[in-house]
Amino acid sequence: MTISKEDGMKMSEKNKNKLMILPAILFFAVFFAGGLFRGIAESMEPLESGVEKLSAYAYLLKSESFIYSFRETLRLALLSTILSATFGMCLIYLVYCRKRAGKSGRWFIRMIHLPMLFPYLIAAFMVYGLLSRTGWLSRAIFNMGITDGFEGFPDLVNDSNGYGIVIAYIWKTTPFVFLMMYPIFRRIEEGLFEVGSVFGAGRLRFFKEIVLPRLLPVWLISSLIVLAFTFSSFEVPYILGVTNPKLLSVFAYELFVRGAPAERPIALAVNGIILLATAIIYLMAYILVGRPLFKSGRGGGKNE
Amino acid sequence: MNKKHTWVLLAMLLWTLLVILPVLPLPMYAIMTGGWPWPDLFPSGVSLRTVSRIIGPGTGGALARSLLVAISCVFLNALIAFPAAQVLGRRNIPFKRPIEAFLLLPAIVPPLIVAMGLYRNFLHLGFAETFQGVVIMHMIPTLPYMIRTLTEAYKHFGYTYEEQARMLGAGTWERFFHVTLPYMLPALGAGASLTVLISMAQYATTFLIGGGAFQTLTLRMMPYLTGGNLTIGAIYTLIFASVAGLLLLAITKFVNRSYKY
Repeated sequence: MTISKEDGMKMSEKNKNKLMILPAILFFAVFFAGGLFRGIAESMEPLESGVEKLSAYAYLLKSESFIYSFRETLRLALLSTILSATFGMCLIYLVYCRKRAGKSGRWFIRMIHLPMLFPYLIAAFMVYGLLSRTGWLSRAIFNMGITDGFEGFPDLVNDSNGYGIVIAYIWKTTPFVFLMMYPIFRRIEEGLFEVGSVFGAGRLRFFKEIVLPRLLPVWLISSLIVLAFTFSSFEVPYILGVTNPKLLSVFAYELFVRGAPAERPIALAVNGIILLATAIIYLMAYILVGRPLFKSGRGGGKNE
Repeated sequence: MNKKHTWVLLAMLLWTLLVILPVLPLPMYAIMTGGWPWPDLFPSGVSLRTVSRIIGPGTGGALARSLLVAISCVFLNALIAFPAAQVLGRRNIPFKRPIEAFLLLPAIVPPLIVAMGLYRNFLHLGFAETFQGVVIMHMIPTLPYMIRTLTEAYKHFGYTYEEQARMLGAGTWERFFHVTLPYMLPALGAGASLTVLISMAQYATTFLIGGGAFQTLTLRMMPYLTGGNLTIGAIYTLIFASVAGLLLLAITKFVNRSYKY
């Protein structure tokens, strides 16, 4: 589609038009940046009069339960991310195999979309209904004769290992990883597939040498987005988490809602640390793939 | 070759099973009779007693509030996003990249963190525990999506259609409602769908800003989800999913019927 020049516009109209972006900027400046900075500023307030600034952060770094929370949050986020990134790539491989066999695999792609329709809190609840010790899966497995009582079914949703949380995250984020890669997979020219089969490149070899390199930047970016999200997200650990360890977002929220007003800087300092960690993750994404993803046409950047 | 393909099909079926398995027991939990002893795969009978107890004015009011907030967000988001997107999509302005990044940032910063910071500001502004406060809070994580989808649409839209309309004598508003808006409908629909989905799922932000007094469907159902009450939790979940689904369907239908290009 051709885009005509702006020549026809009068100068005054042009400038007026540019100002139309102001409401959006003002809205976010007041309510988003305003809230964010207010929170960060309050997190730096001294915990009691007479102590120095940033005492909430100093308190957290010395608190064993916070360090434990932090480690667990990071462990579960990493586990969820690695697994959903792996599954996302496997799903692309399956769609690729279908394509080689001449099938569109449209029903399968629709199936992959399904979890996107359910919000996180519902996904967490459904995982609870399926995987609790007396849940539906434990009934099904007993009826198949695999276990001989609900004690034989592993306690996935009420244990401190947090596997229920990981399962809910995988269920929700794998489609995201897949759907980030899928448009780029689709953009690989038909001709390449033909050349591949003419020269007799094996299925796996063609995938490794032609498909994979094109997907890698987006794969890495979407995995890092998942990591930042699972590290900071609230609903899933709120529903499926145990009292101890509390994941960071739940830790901050409960302290903020139920704690004494004097403890608020601590809750907000937890947020500050979550923000810092996610900022580091996004910075990593930017350094690793940000530039090349947008500049070279190969990775299928946005500017195409 | 054939054997290889069986593996692929099997793997696809396995993933399909994993995707639908968590959804399947929900309807059974929702309508089971009093007892559903452990090893039974299916409830022994069906009872709508709990369902009829839950469907009432309390749930209706909460649902109405959820919808009111979500729909207000869609309208206000569109109101702010249209002018912004037409600048971002078609013009070169100074600091374009940083501005775009700033307008996307609220979609990746956890809204709960923003809400905890906004809390005191809202107390001062008188927005705490009000409908307006909740709407503003829900607009923060949703507006970036509306801006994003409309910006992409404006990139493709360019100026041609509007200039033709102008040469034919159409005024600013006529051009917008009869030329621009119809072209933007699919993007508007996508932005609206995301807004609805995200707004309806907000729990902690709504609780903080609304102070618990402003009860949406999510606020009403959360105690049953965390308390592990499977029957009531499943009923609310199904109500939530069907209302959200119907709203998305309505948006899609409206877009498909009115899209003219």
